[in-house]
Amino acid sequence: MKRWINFGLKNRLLMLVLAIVVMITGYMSYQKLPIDAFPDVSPNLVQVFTTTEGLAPEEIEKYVTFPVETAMNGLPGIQKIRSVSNFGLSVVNIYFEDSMDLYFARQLVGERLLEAREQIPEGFGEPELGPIATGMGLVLFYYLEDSTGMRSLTELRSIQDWIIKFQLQNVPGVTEVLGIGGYEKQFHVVINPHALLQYHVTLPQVIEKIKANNLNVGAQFIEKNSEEYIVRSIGLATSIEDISNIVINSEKGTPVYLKDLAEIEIGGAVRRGIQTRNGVGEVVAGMVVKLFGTNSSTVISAVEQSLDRLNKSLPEGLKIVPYYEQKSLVAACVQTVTNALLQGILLVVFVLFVFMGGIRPGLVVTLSIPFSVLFALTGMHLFGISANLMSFGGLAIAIGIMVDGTIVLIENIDRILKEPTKSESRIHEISRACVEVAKPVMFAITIIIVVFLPLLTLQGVEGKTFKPLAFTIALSMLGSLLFAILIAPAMSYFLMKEPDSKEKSNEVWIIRKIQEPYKKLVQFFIFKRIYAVLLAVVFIIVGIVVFPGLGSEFTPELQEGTLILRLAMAPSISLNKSKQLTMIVEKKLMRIKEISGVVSRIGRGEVGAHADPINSAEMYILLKPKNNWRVKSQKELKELIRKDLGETPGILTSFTQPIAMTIDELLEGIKADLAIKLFGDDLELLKQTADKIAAVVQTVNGAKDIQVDQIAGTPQLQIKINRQAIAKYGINVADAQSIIQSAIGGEIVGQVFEDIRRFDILVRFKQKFRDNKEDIEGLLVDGPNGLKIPLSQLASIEEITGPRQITRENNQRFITIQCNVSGRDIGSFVEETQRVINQKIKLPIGYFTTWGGQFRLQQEANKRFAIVIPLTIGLVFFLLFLHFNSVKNALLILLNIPLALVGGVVALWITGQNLSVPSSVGFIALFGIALGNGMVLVVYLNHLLREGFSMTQASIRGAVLRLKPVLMTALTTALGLIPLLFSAGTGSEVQRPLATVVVGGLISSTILTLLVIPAIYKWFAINVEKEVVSVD
Amino acid sequence: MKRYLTKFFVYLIIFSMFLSINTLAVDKEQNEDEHDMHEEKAVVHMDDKTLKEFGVKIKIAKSGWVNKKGQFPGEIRIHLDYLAHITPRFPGVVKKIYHHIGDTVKKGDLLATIESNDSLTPYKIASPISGTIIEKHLTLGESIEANSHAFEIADLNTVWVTFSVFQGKIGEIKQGQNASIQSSNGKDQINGTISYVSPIVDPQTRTQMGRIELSNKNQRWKPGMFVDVNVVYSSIKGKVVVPNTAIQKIDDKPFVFVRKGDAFEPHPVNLGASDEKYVIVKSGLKARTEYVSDGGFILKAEIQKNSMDDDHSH
Repeated sequence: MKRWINFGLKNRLLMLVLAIVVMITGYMSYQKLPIDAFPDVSPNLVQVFTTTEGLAPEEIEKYVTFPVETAMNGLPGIQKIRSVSNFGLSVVNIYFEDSMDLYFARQLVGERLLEAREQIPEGFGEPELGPIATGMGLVLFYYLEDSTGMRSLTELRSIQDWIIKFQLQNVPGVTEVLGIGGYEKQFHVVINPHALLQYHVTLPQVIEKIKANNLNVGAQFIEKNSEEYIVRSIGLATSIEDISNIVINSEKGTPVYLKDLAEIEIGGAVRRGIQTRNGVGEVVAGMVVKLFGTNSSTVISAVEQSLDRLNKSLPEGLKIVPYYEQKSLVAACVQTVTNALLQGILLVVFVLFVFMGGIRPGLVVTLSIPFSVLFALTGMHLFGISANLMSFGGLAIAIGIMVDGTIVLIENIDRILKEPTKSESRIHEISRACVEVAKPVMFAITIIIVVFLPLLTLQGVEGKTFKPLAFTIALSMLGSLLFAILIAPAMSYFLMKEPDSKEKSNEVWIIRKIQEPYKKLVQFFIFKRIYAVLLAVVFIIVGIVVFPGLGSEFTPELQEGTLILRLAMAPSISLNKSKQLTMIVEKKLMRIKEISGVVSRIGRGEVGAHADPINSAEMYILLKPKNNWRVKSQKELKELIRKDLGETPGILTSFTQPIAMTIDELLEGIKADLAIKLFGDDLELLKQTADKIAAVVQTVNGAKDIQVDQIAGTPQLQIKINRQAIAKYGINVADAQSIIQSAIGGEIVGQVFEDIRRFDILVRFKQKFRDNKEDIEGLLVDGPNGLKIPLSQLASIEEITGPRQITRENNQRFITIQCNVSGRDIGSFVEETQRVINQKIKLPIGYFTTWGGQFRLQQEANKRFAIVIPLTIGLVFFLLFLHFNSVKNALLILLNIPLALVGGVVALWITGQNLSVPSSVGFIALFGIALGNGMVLVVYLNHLLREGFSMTQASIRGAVLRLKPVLMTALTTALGLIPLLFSAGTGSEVQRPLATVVVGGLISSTILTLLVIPAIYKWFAINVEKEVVSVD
Repeated sequence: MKRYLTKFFVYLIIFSMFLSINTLAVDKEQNEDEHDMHEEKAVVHMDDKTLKEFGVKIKIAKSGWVNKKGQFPGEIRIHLDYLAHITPRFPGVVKKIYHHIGDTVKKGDLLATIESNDSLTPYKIASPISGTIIEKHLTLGESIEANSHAFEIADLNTVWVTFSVFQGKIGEIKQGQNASIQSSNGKDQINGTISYVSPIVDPQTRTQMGRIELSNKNQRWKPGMFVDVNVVYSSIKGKVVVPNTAIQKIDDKPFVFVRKGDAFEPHPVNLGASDEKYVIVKSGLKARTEYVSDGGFILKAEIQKNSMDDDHSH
């Protein structure tokens, strides 16, 4: 240690250069840091989407999902596969270990997808990888505003798909632009089946003819006069007229045109999602997806620039209006932490100058802040941690702590320099002062770093959220250690001077003011040690009394600044009805004073981001500026809106926020305490068994909110082909099915090209011939020799209720039974439930259950903590022991922990906050800081004892002399956190419990350090005589 | 030393306990919040304003008819009883023609003079009916054979509509049933009666032919035109008949919402015959009760609310 300090002092200039280099590197790293709002907590997953228009969940599962899933089995680093087969859409989520590189994982999935493609029947869709993005990737949503009101939704959608989308996709960092709303333009050939009969043509013939009359070919070239002419035959249909005039048949020399059989018109594709706005009508919208790993803020501003350009080039009266931008959230978060950081620095600096009583020492200590921060930034850049609420929050928290080491050091230098010993050279004095305290400083800082280790073992969302914070704190502590040991001595040599002899022992007035009463107080406790013990006991009792009064939550909700009202409607609902209901709610919302607009998405648009069915709507609530609100916070506003909105029949509403919602979806998190997953093959049997299990769980004491997944609920019109009937008429199943498919659902038979824009041609029966069960029964199936048989003769047509979606995990269908537990401990509840279920329910063969839910997560976290925390304490104890070479001293310092806890608990109680993960993080930080403070004092007490002071003398003198550094480090730490405590900015709700705990704990532990430790030191003191003997 | 170590472990345990309790944190309140609307309630309350907002319509149950209908593709044909083929008696040379294709002639009007090859005397042929000349197969000076079709005259004041009945509806269509005939473009419409139903089914197309006689005074229906024939082949009277929109399916069973003040209760019903608009309620709904005739979906959705949440597992 001594060597290091002397090295630093000797090479003072080098140290200065080093400091400047570190700071410049830090600044440059900062420029390069990706800036996000929050740490990205999305799971590491690759999504595979397959759209197959018109297919029911059962078919999607069988033909699409299953082949994709099986192809993915056995990939390296795979965690689990989960899939959802919806109407017309299959989504397979392949979750990988967090350590897997996303691009590598995508490559693996892509390779296997080739295999899967072969297994999927022709025409059942092409599986595609989702965008290269995470849950934080949806950075900007916009809609198209047409002030002329003249343009049709089809026209607007074409502008979105063919102009805006292309331009935005070119912006660097944008991986995908997904359109939704309006109608995708199609050319509809609406066939009148009676005309088919009358003109003696069949539907397959019509389809074939359209296909055969819509193409261009190339025919190489011809030579003419030494020149080559490329031969090209143009036969593509480019307009309604071209399609209308396709000749289908010719009767006695008279051509039968397509227009004789059908109406050809421009229409919209079948849609599974729309956007509405303000309860007024539909809009066309788009969402910009950011590439994984790019810098949110730069991507968003590039997109914005591009939007500006686009707005200028769009037709008159048309405007792109962004209605959600993650940028504002990023900006708000950065602002919150930057504010906290700056205010914290100001407060800390203020304290420093007041207590140091001089500009020079204050300056050296102050310099440790930029140094440590920039050092941490360099580290963040190296480890690939983005700048966000949590990582910067870590810096804000550490502001007050990172000066502590230097404070102790500089205070000692200051004190020794002020000592009237003239014989020593200044450099020697500084060296001596440094060496005196360097060891405890180093140990104190190391202990702070060590106590953050358990945080690094956190898993899942909490882990991803809080690890950056732990990392940056640890990094900045390391920076402050470097500064204190290497740079501060050098700095102090340049900046600090020996005081004029006149002002010797001239202590700062504030310390003088405190010192006197403090001395009396500490004397009282030292002489009546039992009172000190009593004080500590009272503290602990208060803590124990208050503790049960605290509520608990996992992690407080981050307020993203954007509210989403989520609507869940009946699963059987039609898109039109769903639109109607959504617009009713929109109208209601628009009446609320604070709301300036509402943009809702119903169902899903282009695949890639959402897979919601049409019974769900997400309403983005656009708010007026805060000064127009009746309430202060977003949370209160939410309640207000909930109240004003009231109940809406047939709709379940819940509030959420954009990022939280997306990530929840990706995690497919279960919020209940206990989730029993029942795996099995038969949907009906699954449902029945799950209901039985639920009934049994109900009987267990403590069970609450029992819920079984609703897997059914979508009405189906099931057409079952009767094989005997079709055999009688000599008809194939495929003949019947192709009529069913193209007549009812429609068939894409080609494309119309308008320059490079291409639009599908859809052949379908006129609506009145396919609208209800009777009509469908009357559809004529062509048999051999002009035979025509109505479908009702060939198939049974039934209305049934089918599954609304089929969810699978690890290649098996499952259903979830969820419940909460109240009034008893979960462990015993789970045990009892398992026993009862085993007794009462016999699962069908091949069926099995898995038990999970929040309780599992907590159990795992507890198990980990049960190992890691004692380990950490052991390690801390070991470090303390290493430093003091005394078990007693180490124990004395560990005594800080319960007393620090009390302060934190009481502070939470007073401010009405809950125990949560961030408050736990606060407790952890608190231990480190409290231990450090205790160390500084105990080291000095030992020092005095060794110098030959009596126990009582040493206790009093040590306490009084150490009052200043102890108070200063505590004050700087606490004041550094004050801005976080009072901040109301975005993201502050996560930082606040943490700051509260640290500030509260610091108060109680400082009281302990200053009053109790000197008093009870006697019982924990080192044995000086023995030591002297053994050392010598 | 040993004593201190024991102490140390005591602290250690206290410390771990603090933390474990701390991490046991679950958001209980939130869960309660989500589930408190889950009680089962079969009755839905709704005031008039909300009813209007959501388009819920109310009617009083009463008797009515359910009409089974079928639509068949058909064609206007010449009525064979009003068609005359005019053939020369003797082979000969056409000397004179009095009327041309498209001319309207009366019964007894002269059509042509032909000089017989045998007797070399001219003889005249006249129209046996009043009608329009729709075909003419002779030209001046032409030598024509006996029995060749010289003229075809049709009285288009009466035409036939023939239509094909496909499998499934065969047997339902009977003589005497009323039918409404509509032109393909939907502009013209006329009612008629089925005058004939073929007793056999065409073995090739497996269809049965039906026929309607139409009076066609203004000659709007031209033979060869395609038409749609709508036939109501059976009408059933029901004591309680409701629109199809009144039926809501809950768990695959039909229900009708009955109004009592501002309360709406789903009543299970037994359904009888139905057509495209109405259905007979055999039991479950008494006449003169107020029921929801349209927009009942929202009431059903309200009842099913409890099964709707957490629908977002994808």
